[in-house]
This record gives sequence, C-alpha cells and structure tokens, in this order.
Amino acid sequence: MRLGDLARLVRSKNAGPFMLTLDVLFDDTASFDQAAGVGVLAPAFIATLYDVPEASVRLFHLRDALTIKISFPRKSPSGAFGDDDVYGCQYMARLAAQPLRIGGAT
Amino acid sequence: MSATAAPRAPCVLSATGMLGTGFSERSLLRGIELGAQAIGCDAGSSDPGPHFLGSGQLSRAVDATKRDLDCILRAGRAADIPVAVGSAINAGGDEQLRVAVRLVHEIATEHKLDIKLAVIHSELSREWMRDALRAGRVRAMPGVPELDEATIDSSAHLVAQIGPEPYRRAFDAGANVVIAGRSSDAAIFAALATRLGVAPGPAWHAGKVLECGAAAAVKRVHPDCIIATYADDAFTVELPNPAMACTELSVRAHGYYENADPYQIHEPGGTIDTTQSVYREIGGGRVRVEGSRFIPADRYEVRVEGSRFIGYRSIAIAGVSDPILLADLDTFLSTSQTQIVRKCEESLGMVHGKDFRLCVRRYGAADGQPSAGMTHTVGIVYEVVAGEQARARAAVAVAVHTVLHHPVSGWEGFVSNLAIPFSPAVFDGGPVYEWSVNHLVTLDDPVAPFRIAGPRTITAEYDDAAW
Repeated sequence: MRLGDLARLVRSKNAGPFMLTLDVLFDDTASFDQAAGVGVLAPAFIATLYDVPEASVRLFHLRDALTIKISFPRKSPSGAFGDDDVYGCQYMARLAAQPLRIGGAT
Repeated sequence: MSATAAPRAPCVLSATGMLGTGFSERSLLRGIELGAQAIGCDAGSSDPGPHFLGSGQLSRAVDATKRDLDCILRAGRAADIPVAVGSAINAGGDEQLRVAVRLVHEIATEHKLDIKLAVIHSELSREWMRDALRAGRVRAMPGVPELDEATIDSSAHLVAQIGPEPYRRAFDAGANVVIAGRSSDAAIFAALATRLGVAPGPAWHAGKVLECGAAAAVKRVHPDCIIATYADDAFTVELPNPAMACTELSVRAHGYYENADPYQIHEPGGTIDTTQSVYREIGGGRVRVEGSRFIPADRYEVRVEGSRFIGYRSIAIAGVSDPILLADLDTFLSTSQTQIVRKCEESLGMVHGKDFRLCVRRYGAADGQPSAGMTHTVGIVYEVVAGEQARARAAVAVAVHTVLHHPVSGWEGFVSNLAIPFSPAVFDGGPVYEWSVNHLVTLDDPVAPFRIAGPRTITAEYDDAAW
C-alpha cells in the first residue's frame, strides 16, 4: 500500500514563494495513526525524498485534524530559472507514491 | 438561521477567495441578510510567481475582476456597510492598484453609487528599502538569503504586506470603500472585524479562514462567499450558500492550508496562536471557534516582497516517441545539449552561462508504457533566457534544429527526432522576473510608510493624479 492509498488527500502548495508545505489528510484516526507511525513520514526520509537538509524539515502531527503537515524551504524559489512548479502543487506526487512500511522505521 | 439569534453581533463577509474568480451574487446578498456588517475581499497572491509584481501586469482578465467588484460595491452601498479590497490586484503594486481604482470609478459611475473611496499604496521605493536595510531593520524569511543593497537596486518593484492599521485609518477618515495594494490576506478582515469591536484573537483567526472564501467548506462546489459572526472570544463561520457547509474538520484543516506552521501564523504586529482554539459544530453547517489568540510582537514587522528582471524567455515544445531513442534518452539529451551550447556559440556568438541560460525539461518517463494503439511519448521543453528577446528566440531555434537531427545511437543514417506540434516552433515568453526580496522589515509606525489617498467622493472621471 502506498501513502496515497491510505490518505484521503495528499496535497502540496507554496507557503510563500520560498517555502513549501505538504498536507496529508486522513479519513479516521486509525489510518492517521497507521501513517504517523511509519518512516515515510519522518523528517529524515522527507529530507532525502526532496533533497533538502533534514534540519530544515518541520513535521506536525495534527491528530485533531487528522492531518500530518510537512514544511521545508523550496530548493529553488517559486518561478526562479529552472523551477518547474511555480505554485508547488505537484510536489505531493513523490510523497503520495511512497510505499507504506507499516510499523517499520525508515 | 443565525440572523434572528444575534441580529447585531459583529459579522464580516468575504466575497470570494480571490477577486475575479467569481461567487454567486445570491450568496453575497444572503450573507448580508444573515447580518454581515462589512464586506472584504482578497484580490491578490504571490502564487502566480514573480512575473506579476515585476512587470506590473495582471494575471487574470480584468473583466472578471470588474464583475466581482461590481457586485461587491453595489451590495456594500445598498446595505451601507464598508467594503475593503486588499492586494489589489494580483501583486498589489501601484500599477495594478491603479487598475482597481479605475474599475471602482467605472462601477461608481455606471451605477451612480455614493462611494467615498480611500486608496492605500503598499509599494515602497528602493530608497526607502535601502534606508531600512542600513538602519538594521531588515531580516530574511526562512529559506531566503540575507538582503543586500545590490538586490534592492535590482528589484523592479517592492511591496509590503500591510497590516490592518492603514485600513482602519482610511475608514476612520470617512471612507466607505477602501482599495489597498499588497496586504496580509488576513489583515483585510482583521481590520473590518476590529472596527466592529471584535477582539484581535477572533478577528485575526477568522480573517485567516475568511481570506480564502468558501475554501473552508467540506466541498467547495465553486468559489463563493463566507461569513464570520463574532462573540466575545469566539467566531462562527458559515457559508451563505445552502449548497455548501463547514464542519469542525473542514475549518480546522483549512487553517493549515498554505501555512508553514499550523499553530503560529506570523502577521504584521503579532502572531495568530491557534494552540488553544476549540472548534465545534453548532448546526446548520456552522462552526464555532473559541480561544484563538493574537499575541502582539515586540516589534511591528511587515513582510516586503520584491521581484527583479532577469532577461527574456523563449521556449519550444516537442515530443519524442521513437522507442530506440527513448531507450537511450538520458545520453541523447545530454549529448545534444552539449551540441546546442556549442552551436549557439558558433552560430550566434552566445556563450552559455554568460549570454544565455538553457533549461531542458523532460515530461514523462522514458520507459513508460504505451496504451493500446498509441505510442509512448516523452515531452521535452527547451527554454532559454537571454538579455534580448531576439537572442533568446535565436538560441531556442538553434536548440530545436540541433536536437531535431542529433544522432541516435541504435540508428544509422540521418535521423529526425522531434514531433514539433507548432509552426513556428519557438514561442516568446517575454520578460522574466525572479523573486528578489522576501524579508521582514520593522516599522515604527504601521501606517506612515504607506500613502493613503482620499477618502474622496467619486464624482468625476478617473484622474490618475488624484490617487
């Protein structure tokens, strides 16, 4: 199973032109807890997946909103030469495609 | 619904998430029936990228903006309630603000509306920004390089995301319509709510929900209005359109959208703190939020955005379907790129990295599977940015011709590699800008740097000098 199969919605968007934020929304606490416990949603893995420093990755477990939120600075600012996603909308795809390794560390 | 329960409770309506994306006029009128005592609308964003601040152009057709503004101004005047439009329009620089002010004139004249207009300018001069930097009042946002004077000097335009104070000043001076340049999205609504006596906590947090229009709904069927009704330290959000509803989860989740930190949202003059916020559904698709706080900062900071010109862009788009080529696509793209660079220097005297920049984007995987009866195609986009449009166009033309016949290992003889969908193959993208400034600047006075024109009753034709 991939993260995108478990989540109700995986989305990404600029949080200002220099930051990116990803939201992973779940239908219920069971799937939230299942996802929250796996390595896919750990800063180290996110840092590797998006090629950013681990220290720059902020991760929020928002259980009351059934949401896991991940924020980090964009590698290139929105609209800079060579940037290919001005709104930051499709950064979600990489995360959604990751297999869930249930119960395991990264 | 709520209109009878608390007829004069402070209530603010947001017409839509972005002026010009539309809303139902019926929802707007219903929102006023439900008790709205002010109308706000966000008209801009940095989302479409640095081009719009840099060039002063608009990202959307002005007709759609006029339609929305027309509905809002008529409704506002009919109910005799204040109207505030912020970040007008798009990037909220002076050129774009002028377009909005001209539209207000047209609408006021067409419908004979009694409008006392005030216009707030958020654009800052490079001199002002240099002084702020020299005075040690500037710090970088996360992920942004430190600012230097060369970066300020190279910026085409600088705008501040203003707070609620300039809006309040303009309304206090007698305006019934305020059109402002770049603003904090939430500040537009915080200004309207605090003028109605609402405490900063609910005023700001509700502002954060309101600024996106109906996006806080469980399912936003189309862009539409939303209202917040305030009581003590709480606010209730509600969609006037009965086809849409909010739930505890939808409002909570919306608060996290586009914000890097879900609990601490930095705004001019302080931070919206939602750690103590309690969300509760109270029926009728309404959600009540209690306990939100606005924590004033030690110093008043605004975010300043700047954009600078970096050259002219041309592009070409092509498809590659040849399975032999796709089998070795990486090598093909890299060896052909070497040839493009060599040919541009040989034929045009353009040195890569100095006279132009080349970016080759590939869309689709080389080993993707064709569907029945179709070839698998990978899309390639060639992009050049150079100091002159003609030079950029010339370099992309060289790129296309070079790659068109670049040898493919696996075939012998003269090959033709690209499916080019258009004649001419090369498109000019015009001037290109990049974000140069995204920094916080400390202000002694949240209003002083921003010129407020008016308020003045609109009686005559639009006169640029008056605003």
